[in-house]
Amino acid sequence: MSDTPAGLQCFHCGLPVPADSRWPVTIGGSARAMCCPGCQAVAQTIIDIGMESYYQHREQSAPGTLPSAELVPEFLSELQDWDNPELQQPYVHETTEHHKEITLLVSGITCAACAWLVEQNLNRQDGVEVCQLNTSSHRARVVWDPAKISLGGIIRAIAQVGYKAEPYNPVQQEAQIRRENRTALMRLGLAGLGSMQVMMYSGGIYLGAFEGIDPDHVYFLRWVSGVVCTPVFFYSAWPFYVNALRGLRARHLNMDVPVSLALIIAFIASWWSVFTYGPEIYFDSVSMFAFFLLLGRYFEMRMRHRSQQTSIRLSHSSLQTARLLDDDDHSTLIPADRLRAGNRVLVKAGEVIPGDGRVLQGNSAVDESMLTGEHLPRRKQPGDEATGGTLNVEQPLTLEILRNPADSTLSTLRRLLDRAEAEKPSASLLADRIARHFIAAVLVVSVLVFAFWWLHAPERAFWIVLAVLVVTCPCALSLATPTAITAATAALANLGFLATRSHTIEALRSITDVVFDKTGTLTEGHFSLAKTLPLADLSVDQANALAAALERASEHPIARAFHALPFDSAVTDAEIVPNAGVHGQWNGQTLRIGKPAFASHGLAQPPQAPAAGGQWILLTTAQQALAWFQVEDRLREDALTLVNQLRQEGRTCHVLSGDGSGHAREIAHQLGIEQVRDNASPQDKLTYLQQLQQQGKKVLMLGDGLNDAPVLGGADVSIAMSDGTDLAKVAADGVLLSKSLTPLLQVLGIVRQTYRIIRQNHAWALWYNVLALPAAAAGLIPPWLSAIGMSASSLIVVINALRINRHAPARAN
Amino acid sequence: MDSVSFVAAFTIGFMGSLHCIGMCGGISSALTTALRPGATTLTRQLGYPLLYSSGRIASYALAGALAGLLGHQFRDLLGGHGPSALRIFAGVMMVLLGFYLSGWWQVLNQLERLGAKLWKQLAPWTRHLIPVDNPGKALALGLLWGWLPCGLVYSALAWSVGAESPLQGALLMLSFGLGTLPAMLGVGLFSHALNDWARSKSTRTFAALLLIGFGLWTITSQIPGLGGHGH
Repeated sequence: MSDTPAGLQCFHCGLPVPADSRWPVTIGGSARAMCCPGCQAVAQTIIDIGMESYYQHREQSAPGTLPSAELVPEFLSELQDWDNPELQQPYVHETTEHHKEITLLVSGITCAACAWLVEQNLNRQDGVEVCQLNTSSHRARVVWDPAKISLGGIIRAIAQVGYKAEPYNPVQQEAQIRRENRTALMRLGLAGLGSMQVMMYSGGIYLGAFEGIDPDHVYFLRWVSGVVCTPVFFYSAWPFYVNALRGLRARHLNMDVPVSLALIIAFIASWWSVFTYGPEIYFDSVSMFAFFLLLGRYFEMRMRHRSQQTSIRLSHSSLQTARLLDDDDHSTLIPADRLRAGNRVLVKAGEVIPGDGRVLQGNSAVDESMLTGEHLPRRKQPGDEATGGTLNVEQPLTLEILRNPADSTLSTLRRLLDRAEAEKPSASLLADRIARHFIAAVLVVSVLVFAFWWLHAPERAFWIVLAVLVVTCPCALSLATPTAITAATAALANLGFLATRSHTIEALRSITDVVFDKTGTLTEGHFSLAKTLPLADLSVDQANALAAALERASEHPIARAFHALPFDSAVTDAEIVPNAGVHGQWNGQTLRIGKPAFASHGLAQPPQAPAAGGQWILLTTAQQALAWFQVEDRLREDALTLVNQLRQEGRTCHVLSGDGSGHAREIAHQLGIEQVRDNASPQDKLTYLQQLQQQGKKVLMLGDGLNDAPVLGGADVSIAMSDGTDLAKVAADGVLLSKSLTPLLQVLGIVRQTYRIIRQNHAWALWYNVLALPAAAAGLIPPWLSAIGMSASSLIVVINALRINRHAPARAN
Repeated sequence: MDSVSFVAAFTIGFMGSLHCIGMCGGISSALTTALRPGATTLTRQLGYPLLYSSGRIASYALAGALAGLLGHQFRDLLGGHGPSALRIFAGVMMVLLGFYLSGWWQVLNQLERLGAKLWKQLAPWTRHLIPVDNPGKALALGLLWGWLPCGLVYSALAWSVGAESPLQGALLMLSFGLGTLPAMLGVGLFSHALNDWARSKSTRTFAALLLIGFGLWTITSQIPGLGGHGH
């Protein structure tokens, strides 16, 4: 602010201060000149009521000082150099040596046309390999070749078509949600106020017409209606014009084209009528259209935001801070996305674990429900891995971070989800195409309708065309599938089931056969010792102690069955023989334990395995067999329920196993599954699947997703059961993060419900348009009702889709 | 009194308030910071400003009723020339307002100075209303706000002195108040760009010329032989 008297500006309002007088007020210790007694009084009052801080607060954006001061930070952030590797680091994931992947948050996306425009423009850029933009989450997955194009280039390419992109992080998305919400509310509020006012004036005009109102009054009321309607037309309805224009620029007819047409025609016709003393004004219709349409959009947006919460929750960890430990165990708070592999962090009880890591110190329980849907905390002790984003419940833990934030389990999960979301299911692509033709048809029909009414009843022609333009709603048609799929994806994620491909949900619908690959999917995956049969002169306890002493050396699942038992410390030099067993020294003798063939090697008379089922392992010395041990892997508690339920639903269950010990047959027998194939190579399994498929069966395959990828790939849809540690390697259409099988039934239930809802949505959208269009063309629907009808028809579709979310079983918090 | 007067009052409010964005916009923002924390955005941006303005406009209407009463008394005093005389007075005030807005001749500041004395009596009451934690306080604060010294309000009041009755005076000031509404609510809603536009020299000059023209037309129409609109 200048201090030269010639250009002195009022400290309060910024207008010039008259040369001859000052009207000073003491603010912040010095006298400030005001332009008039009014400003003086205001400023004095502001000081007197103790709000002096207002002047400090507004310093940066004081009116008249720096016109666009508040725009500066945003402007700067846009200029931020995204080519800088330091800045990119937290967001960019290197998929291969020549490819990088990032998720961008794109602002300004309102419809499929916007997404299409951005995708087209990016796909044209040399070096961009994949670009998929999700219309409902506004996130774009971009894979590019850094040798050909830079990240900055990609962001600039998006800016070229009029959208703003920035690397996705959940904080920004939350902020964007808030921003969108605020703007929408403001537009909606103004439209609401405006339409109430205009309705009142119109009421006055209509009533006045009966009572012989003074034409001057009518003129006045019309004029005021126009003034009130103008901000509604320009500010509230602005998004419609922008979208329509973007759509047209992309040669893509969208819903907003007819809506904008209706608004603009009605608005101009009304002002024309005001100035020419014409018979009708439509200001009330314009503001009501805008209000009802915005109301519909607003609810739609709120619901979209709600389903986005799921993925924000998944990305939760980057909102966190981490206590980074230095070499002297001093901790510093840093944002969790700055953690690097190798860092040590301290996680106090009640804090969220900031990244994937291995426990170095401490013994605690960790709540992994956000990952698995399982609400019983799991124990973690030194050596165990903990996943970022889960909650440390009991005691402080010291962790060594294993993965950089971009490669963490959570980031991988989010990428998998994003990919599934970004791949548009073919059904919704079809709906989009139909909707586009539909709009073109509506525009043609409106012209015909107008021509018809112009000839027969010219005074009604205008109204009727307005109604036709607004009443038809292809959005209901194009929203029907994607909203349901999005809601279903969110509901499934709540169960701990992640659909990682877009076709997963569609494919799960028509499953006839369920194939369990490996018995591990049906059993708990850890063995326990069921029976010990001594063969020589020693007790059961002695035999167990010898076995335990040997097996201590091994981490094999079977060996773990002995880990809890007391062991004989006289055993030394235990050594593992891969795929066979363990040998060691005991009182000068060589002990062997493991597969019968390995243990009985060199024995004159190999003992016969007992007839009872299950898996038997043998303990021997060089001279004689000492004992048989029966180990068994117990069935998962809910395996039987699952199999029975699947059978009741008319689906056939199969067990395939590479194991030849009879274990698989035993498991299948316990579950009443007749289709078993054991001792099968991956090729055998694939052939088995193909045979089923040749019979017209749709096969769902369950596996661990790690070693059986080719087999899983052959199924119509595959689900990997994973505890989340090796997610990045998982090649399946869906991941079941939960430790139990029950969610699978719920998954199938939700899929059934989803398709029921999609069918309902399509039926509704179709019937609504089939009935509404002729009715509007016939002049039976007044324009205000058409606006309600149109908004309601898409709202119904969205609300119907949201029932999927609500019916999902509640999760414990 | 014909509807054109209401249109005129509305126009005066609308045009004149462009000037006030700087002054009263400041109050609006300052009062928004005085809200209890936790109020939603919509409440902040629209709800409370609307309450302030409702109070403000109610005060204008009250002042208008008083002016109307005053004019009524004057009319009786002046006899048959009353209405014309009052209208000429209103026209002169309008021309002065034009000068005031454009910054050419700020004689109305003297009037504001008088008003500032009244405000000094009222100002202490505002202290009881901070922080603004309920709609009642917001409304009361608005009522006080209506009495801030303001050349714009005074010239509009001069206009309603020409009203035929206190009720009409109140209605005139109500129209005027409604005219100021877009600018006052707009402060919170729109960007600084709009505000800067509204306060730019050329915008103010345009509004000033319009008001001066309007004032001159009012004066000439009251002088027999020049205009034909006399009552």
